[in-house]
Amino acid sequence: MCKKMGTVKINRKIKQASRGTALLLKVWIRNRFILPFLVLLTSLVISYINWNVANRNAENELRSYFEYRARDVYNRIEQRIISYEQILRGACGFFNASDNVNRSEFRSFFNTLNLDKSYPGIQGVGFSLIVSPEQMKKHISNIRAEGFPEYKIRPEGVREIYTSIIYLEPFRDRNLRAFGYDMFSEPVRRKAMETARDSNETVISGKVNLVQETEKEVQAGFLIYLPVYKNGTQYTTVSERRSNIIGWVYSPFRMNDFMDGLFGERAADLDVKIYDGKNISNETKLYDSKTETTRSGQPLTIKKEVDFNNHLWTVIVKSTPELETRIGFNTATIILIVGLSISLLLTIITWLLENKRRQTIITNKERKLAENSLKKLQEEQQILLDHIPAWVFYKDTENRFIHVNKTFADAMGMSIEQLDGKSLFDIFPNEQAEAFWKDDKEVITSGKPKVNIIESMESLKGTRWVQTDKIPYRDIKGKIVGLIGFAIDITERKLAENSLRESYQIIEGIINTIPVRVFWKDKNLVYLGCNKLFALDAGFTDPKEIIGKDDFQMGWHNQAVLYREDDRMVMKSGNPKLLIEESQTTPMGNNITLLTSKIPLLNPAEEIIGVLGTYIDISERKHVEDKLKKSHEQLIKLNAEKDKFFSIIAHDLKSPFNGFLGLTELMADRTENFTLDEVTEQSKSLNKAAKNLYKLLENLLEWAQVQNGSINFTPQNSDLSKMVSQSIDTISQRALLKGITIVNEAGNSQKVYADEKMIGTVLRNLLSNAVKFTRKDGKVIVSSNRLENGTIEVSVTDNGVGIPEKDLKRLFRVEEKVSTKGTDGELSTGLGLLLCKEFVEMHRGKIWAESNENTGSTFYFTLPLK
Amino acid sequence: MKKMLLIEDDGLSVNVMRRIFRDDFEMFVCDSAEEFYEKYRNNNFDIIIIDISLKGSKNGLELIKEIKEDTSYNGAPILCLTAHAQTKMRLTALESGSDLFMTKPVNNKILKEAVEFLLKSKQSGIKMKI
Repeated sequence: MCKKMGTVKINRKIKQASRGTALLLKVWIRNRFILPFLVLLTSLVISYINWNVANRNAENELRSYFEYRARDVYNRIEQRIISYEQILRGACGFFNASDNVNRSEFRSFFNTLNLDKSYPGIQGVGFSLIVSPEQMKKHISNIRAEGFPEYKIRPEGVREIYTSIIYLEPFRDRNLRAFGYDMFSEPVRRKAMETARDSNETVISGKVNLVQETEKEVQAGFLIYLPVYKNGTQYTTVSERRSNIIGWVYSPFRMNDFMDGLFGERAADLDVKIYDGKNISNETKLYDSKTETTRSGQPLTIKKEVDFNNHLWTVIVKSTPELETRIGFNTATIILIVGLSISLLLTIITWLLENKRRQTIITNKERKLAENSLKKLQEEQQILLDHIPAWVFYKDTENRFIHVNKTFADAMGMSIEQLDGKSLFDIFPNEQAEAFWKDDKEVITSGKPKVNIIESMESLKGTRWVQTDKIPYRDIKGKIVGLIGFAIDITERKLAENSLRESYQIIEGIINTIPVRVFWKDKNLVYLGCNKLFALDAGFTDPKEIIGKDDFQMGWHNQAVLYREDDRMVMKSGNPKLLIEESQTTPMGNNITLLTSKIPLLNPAEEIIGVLGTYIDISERKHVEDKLKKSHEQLIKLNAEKDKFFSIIAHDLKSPFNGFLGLTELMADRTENFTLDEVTEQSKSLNKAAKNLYKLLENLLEWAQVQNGSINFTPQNSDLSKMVSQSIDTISQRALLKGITIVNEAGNSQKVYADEKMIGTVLRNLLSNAVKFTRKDGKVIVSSNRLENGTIEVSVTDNGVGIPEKDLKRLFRVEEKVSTKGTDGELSTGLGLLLCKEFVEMHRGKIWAESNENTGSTFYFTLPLK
Repeated sequence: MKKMLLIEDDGLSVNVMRRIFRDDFEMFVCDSAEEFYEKYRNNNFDIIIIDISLKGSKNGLELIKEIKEDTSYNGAPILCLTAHAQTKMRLTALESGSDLFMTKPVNNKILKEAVEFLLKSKQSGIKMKI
């Protein structure tokens, strides 16, 4: 039972595990970071393990190496000590061989040892002799006798026994200081000396300060002693040895020098400390390599006691970082670095591979999706194509339809499939197809779209206008493989446009035909347009030329400011300004008169956007009006003059009748009351008045004839002098009565071009007046004078009463008819001079008078020579 | 006998009027302003007849004005004669101060009656204007 339950548990675990795996797998599949991450992790772990092993190996190797090195240190120390022991034993043997060794013998012995080269570190080899107090004196004198007069045993004082270093080679430098020194007096040395004496062994002393030491560079020191007995005998008991000892051969050592000689160059990578005895302290420290450094981690350490004939040295050897780096750890680091690098490399490779794999998966997926959506898109596009109210067609470069939409097919009366592969020439009449194909070719060869092609074509619905865009159709590489066409049926628009254009043309026609100038300007008073007449006025031939210009650029730039002021007023007020009469300078520089109207120009929103103006040229009318006005004024004046004249004539005509009627009535009623004389007298009066009246009438009629132009003007070459004499003849009788002389001084046979009848009248009138207003025995002279302008001036001069200044001016004015009775009461009609004026003027001449009151008058008139 | 001053330059008309009034008036006739001044100053006239159009520097209307303004004017009626027939002239004549305006040709009988009427109304103090 229990077992079964266990199985179930295991199964569940497996299931859980597999479920976990599945989950992981899922995650892995989903997440492209997973695989690279796993690779990184694994490779890192492997790297770590490798590094770890390498590290441990290195540690072990280091340890072995260190132990080997430490051992080497001990060995060397031991070997050296043994070597020195051998030297001392040699020295001892030398002493044993000859009972009495003198100084020079000892020196030569020493020299044979060649210590400096073979045993570096040794201070020297010496002999310490035991001197009893009794022998003291003799001993000192002996040594002194050898050439050392200062010799004595030091330290001085009384002791049971003395020893003295009598030989010490090399006998120089520091060693001289030891000469005569009693080592037995110092406890440490003494102990070693006694041990050596008793054991007949080489004995190492404890730590001492050698007497050779100076103040400087004091080093710890030790000595090795070997006893020398009498007769070179080896004594077996302690007492024998004590009693037979004669001295010690010995060697002093300065510890640092000793150690320095011990190691080669490698000594620096170990930290070595030597203590005297087991006790480790500064007091007991014999040697310190001083290579210990501050460091991380614990150094490898070996502590060992070295026994030299029962004298112990504790030697502690420690590893230094220098040593440690010599071994092993580099390898581990390299392994680590390489491992990490490989891990990283692997990860990157995996990452790239994974990405590529996933991309492939995604690309496949996307392609499938894209294919689906492309299919859908194509379907949608087809629906779209088929339903847009435009013709869409794809064509190849060989003028074949590849694909068209339904709208196009329908318009052609075919199915889409039928159109497949058809060319334009299969569908359209040749000429039409040619035209279309021309555009197609252009697009295909140039590679540039051609848009807004507007052309007409025949279709099932009759003539249609289409607007087509043709765009080059390129394959993926950009090579042109055909074209895409897009055409819209714009027939309706075209028709609308046409009718718009037509109506515009009609309006334009009207505007250009009406005899009125039309123009319109924008808000800045820049011309937007005008009609043809206006353009011509402005000095242009086409109304289009005026667009964009302003009044300062027109023929009438002088009036521009004035016009624009009006324009602004109209735009500002919104009120039209109608029928303004204004002047304008034409491009030719003429001044013409215009009748202008201006109204605000409105847009559909009824906002003022400018000004619209019209004008007509009323110069002609104005001119006629002015002329009319002038002639009207003239007429009025003339009428007034004539009115006045006629009222005078009326008076002059009526006035005599008062007498006629009154007198004739009296005579008729009361004839008996009249005496015969009276009748005669009255009849004479009546006759005279009647004559005058008749003359008046005659003048009046003549004048009237001149006025209405019915008198015949027939000028001819005439003899002036002759005309003057004839006129004088008609007057001479009356002149004779008044005793007045008339002299004809007019140039003999002076020719004039004149109407003789008229000029005769003129001359008679002037002569008659002259006689009338000249007193008895006066004189009248008629003369002629040729003027520079080629006319003949005729003058009639009298020495009569003259004419007052104020009347002089009125003489020839019709409205001022003046009639004055002569000096003998001669009557006058007052019409004479007026007639003279008319007649002279008909000859294109002039008539005038000069006069001084009481001295006479002169009347002049001119006549043409031809 | 009453005195009449006639200022008239038409000889025939003078002849006629002399004949008409010779029984009732002592006639003084002049045909220009210059002659008029001389005669007017030296006599006290009962009636003055003036034709508007005169020869010389002044016309009849001007003379009437001068008479009316003269301090020695005795108030004798002034009859104005003219061949001018316009209404305008008539009004001008009356404005100048004449008592009666008559247009030529004037009937002898009517002229005589007019003179008589003027004298009578002068006597009765009636001032009338036609």
